[in-house]
Amino acid sequence: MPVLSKEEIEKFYEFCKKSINTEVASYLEACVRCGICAEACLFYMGVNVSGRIDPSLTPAYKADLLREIYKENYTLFGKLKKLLGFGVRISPEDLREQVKLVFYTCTNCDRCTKACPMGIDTPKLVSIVRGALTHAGLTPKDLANATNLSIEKGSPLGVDIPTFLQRLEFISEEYEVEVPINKKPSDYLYLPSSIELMKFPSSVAAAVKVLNRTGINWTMSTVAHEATNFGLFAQSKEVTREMLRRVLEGAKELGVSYIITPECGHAYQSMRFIAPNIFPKDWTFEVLNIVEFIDRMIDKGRISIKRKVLKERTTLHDSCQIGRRGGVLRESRRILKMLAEDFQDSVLIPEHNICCGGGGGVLVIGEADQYRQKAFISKMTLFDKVEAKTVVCYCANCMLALTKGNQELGRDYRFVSIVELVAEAMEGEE
Amino acid sequence: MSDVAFYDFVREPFLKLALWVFFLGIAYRFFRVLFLGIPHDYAKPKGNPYYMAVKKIVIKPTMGWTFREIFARRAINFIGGFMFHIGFIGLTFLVPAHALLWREITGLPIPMMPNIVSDMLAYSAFGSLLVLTVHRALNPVLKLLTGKDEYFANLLIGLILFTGLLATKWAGSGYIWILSIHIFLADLLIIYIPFSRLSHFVYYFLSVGFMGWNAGKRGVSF
Amino acid sequence: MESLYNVFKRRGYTRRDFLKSALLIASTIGMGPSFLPQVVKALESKPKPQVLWLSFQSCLGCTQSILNSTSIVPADVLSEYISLEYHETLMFSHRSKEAMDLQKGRYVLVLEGSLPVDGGFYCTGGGRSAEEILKSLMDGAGLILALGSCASWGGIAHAEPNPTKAVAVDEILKHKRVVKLPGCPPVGDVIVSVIASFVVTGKPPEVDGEGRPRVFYGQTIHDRCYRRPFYDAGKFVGSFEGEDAQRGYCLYRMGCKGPITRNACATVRWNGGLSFPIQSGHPCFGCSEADFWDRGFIYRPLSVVEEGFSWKEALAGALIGTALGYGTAYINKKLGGG
Repeated sequence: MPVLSKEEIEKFYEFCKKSINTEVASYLEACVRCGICAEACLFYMGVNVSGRIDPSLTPAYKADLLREIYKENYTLFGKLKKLLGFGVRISPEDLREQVKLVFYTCTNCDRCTKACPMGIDTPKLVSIVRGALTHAGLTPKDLANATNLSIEKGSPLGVDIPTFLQRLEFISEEYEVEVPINKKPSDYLYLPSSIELMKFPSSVAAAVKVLNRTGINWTMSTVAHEATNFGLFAQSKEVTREMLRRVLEGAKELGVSYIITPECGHAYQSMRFIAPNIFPKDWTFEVLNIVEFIDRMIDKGRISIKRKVLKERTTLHDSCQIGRRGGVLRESRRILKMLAEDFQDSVLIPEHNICCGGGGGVLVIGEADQYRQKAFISKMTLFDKVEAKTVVCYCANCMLALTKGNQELGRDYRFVSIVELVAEAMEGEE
Repeated sequence: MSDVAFYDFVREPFLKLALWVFFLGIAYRFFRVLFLGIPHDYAKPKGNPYYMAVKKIVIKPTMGWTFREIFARRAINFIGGFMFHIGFIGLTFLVPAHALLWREITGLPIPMMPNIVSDMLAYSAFGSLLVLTVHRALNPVLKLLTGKDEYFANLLIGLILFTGLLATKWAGSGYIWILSIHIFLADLLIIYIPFSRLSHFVYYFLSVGFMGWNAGKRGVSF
Repeated sequence: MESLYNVFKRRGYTRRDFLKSALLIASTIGMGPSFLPQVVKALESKPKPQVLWLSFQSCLGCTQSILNSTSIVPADVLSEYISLEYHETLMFSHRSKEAMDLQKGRYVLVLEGSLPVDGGFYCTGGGRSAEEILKSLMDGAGLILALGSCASWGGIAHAEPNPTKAVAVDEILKHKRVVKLPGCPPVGDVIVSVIASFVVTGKPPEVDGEGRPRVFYGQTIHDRCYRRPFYDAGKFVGSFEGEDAQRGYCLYRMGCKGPITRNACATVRWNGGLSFPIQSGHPCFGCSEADFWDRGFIYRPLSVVEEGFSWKEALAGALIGTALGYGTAYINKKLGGG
């Protein structure tokens, strides 16, 4: 970690100060210090399993520095206190602690919001602190590298256009599918994520198969070839904007009216909920997640699921950004019920599902590994509760995080992509 | 100072002052936040944000209960908190003497509850407040989150509940003193609310409203 | 000097009547039946008390009250027994000490009405101010009774704007033990039994911090009110007419000051134990507590703000708060840049 100068702390402070609006202020004011959010947090739960209770992982605590800054700039007493010289003093250690709190041990999964009796949207507050840390140049090294890479080459995994084309060629050969690229005119634009391209090519192939089967007019683009948006993880407005601008450019060029986001959590989040606010005039597309899309197509009868491909006990892992924060929860369950013979939901209400522990960029940050592994323990409790070894996911990042945790902790869960299952189930007899 | 003189002081000038401070302060705190404004959201909502905001404001207090594992681990918070709030709100508005004050202030026909009900509420609220305070002092998470504010508020409310109970049942010849102290502490609490986290009841509407609005925007039901 | 029993006999009452009165006196002064023999003996043997009754700024309601007291001792016996050696109103007001043959340390000084401290303009007699008259008599008194709310607290004359600068008698009698029997007027039976208890025991009754006999002023009207069950049940009279009033529900809502009023009305009652204000359907207005007249708002509940705090005030407060909140938010937005 670099040595911090006063200027950087000032930058952090100013960013926090500027980010306050009614919503944020009401969250900051509403906290009643009940600490219930701690029990909802997978990192807290996971660390707790080992018996070593780390109370600083409480979600409410993550926003405390921001709250202090808010108070001394927006309330009478805070201002008075500041005037008298009792204002917030931020030391470099404080900021380092903040890095741990918001980058290492928060995936913006939103579970605490649902448990909070005051409905405080902690992810929103954490995002502000993340943004401020990024503004002060304190983004964790791994995350900063990936973010830079996505600006330079167009993808956090370094997938530039030649690599992209090469991978697609490989996929179309390996899985014998036809991939339309830059086809004009098209109605639908499908954006793969580079995680899928590089690590789960079968998943991309499955999506291509499904898209082809529906018979819609779709394409991929060489301009808008990356769905992920690491700007969101680092909460860097510039990077977010740049990544989304590429998508916008590609989509506009092809004249599509629908964008289908892949099995990637924050890709859906960024294009569905953030892009319209960055490009209020230009962003006229309807953004669908691939799960949402498949559900629609099944509804319309364009594709049909012909057999149950999963015989064993199966459960579902929800992607927070698509599910709890994206609203695609019932669709995946509807589809999975058609796919699996013995589907057991691990939670009472879909919104209760626990995060994989790798979202929000935690997966790429090496320093956060120990926390992520602990978080995987709390995730596992849900799998074990329903005694399922097969877990269906609809987010490549979740798959990667879960697989990693699975390996690191030596467990024998199997993680499968829902799109792959759909592609498999479309084939074969009735 | 005789007890009746003290009584007259806490009931008339001090209560009036407290009420002014309360209404002014609460409105100030609420609107200070509300008028900060939020950026317009251009994303097309997936559900009905306005409906969800209202719905969440109504049903939010029971939402946490569906988290069974959280409920199991923090039953003290859930049950104690619920009992305390029911007791506190019930006592504040529906005890006859209080109800008459609120009738005067609001002009609404606020119902009055019999003593037996208010006794039960007071005992449950007082008991749960004690338990919650002890829990707050022992739980590591709460230890980290708690400041002086919380303990002071708990002490104040505890004393108010205690003196209220004492006045209705056990005061004997000290009745007027106990009653006056009860009112005095209540005045202090009324003044204290706008300056402290006890004003969370107004932010509840904002915070939960936004949460419901977001839920409606994202098309989730919970 | 004759004793109470002698007076009874002379008036043609039986010993049974005397014993009945003695029992009542014993019980009202809180001595209980086991002390009855002692009380009877004292009333048989001890001479009747000398009572000096000074009226200051009063309405004579207190005099009226004691003359109407009939439940403990029959009226004719009482008027003879309590030998009013001097009563400003009942006798010619020559205000001379020489007219009295007083036994030092034995007489009862009853003070009715408040004292003006304006320097001898109001309430003078025989060329002497009320204060002087009081001061000349106070030293020899065995028991000083401040009778009624005026003598005890200043009362009506003391209420705003207090033109005579009236004060309670104990403001003048700073170092004297004054037994206060507040009330407007105080219950007659209470006066009788306090004087009787002085005769029996030879010393003033046990008093609380304010100088009121604990036996009669130890509890509030509310504590001993026969309508208390309705208060506890949350049943209130909403108007003086209608069914709730006829059913005899609690009068708290009608402005009953019983909860903060200490008096014997609810236990001893008036007119020979017949009734008291609440029983007749009217809220207690707290006449036996200090400054009751200034408290005003007789017909509004005790728990409301006296001068009124309605939705208008609440709204005004909220509007000011809103304006301040808006201003602060505006400034914050400018400063915060958000």
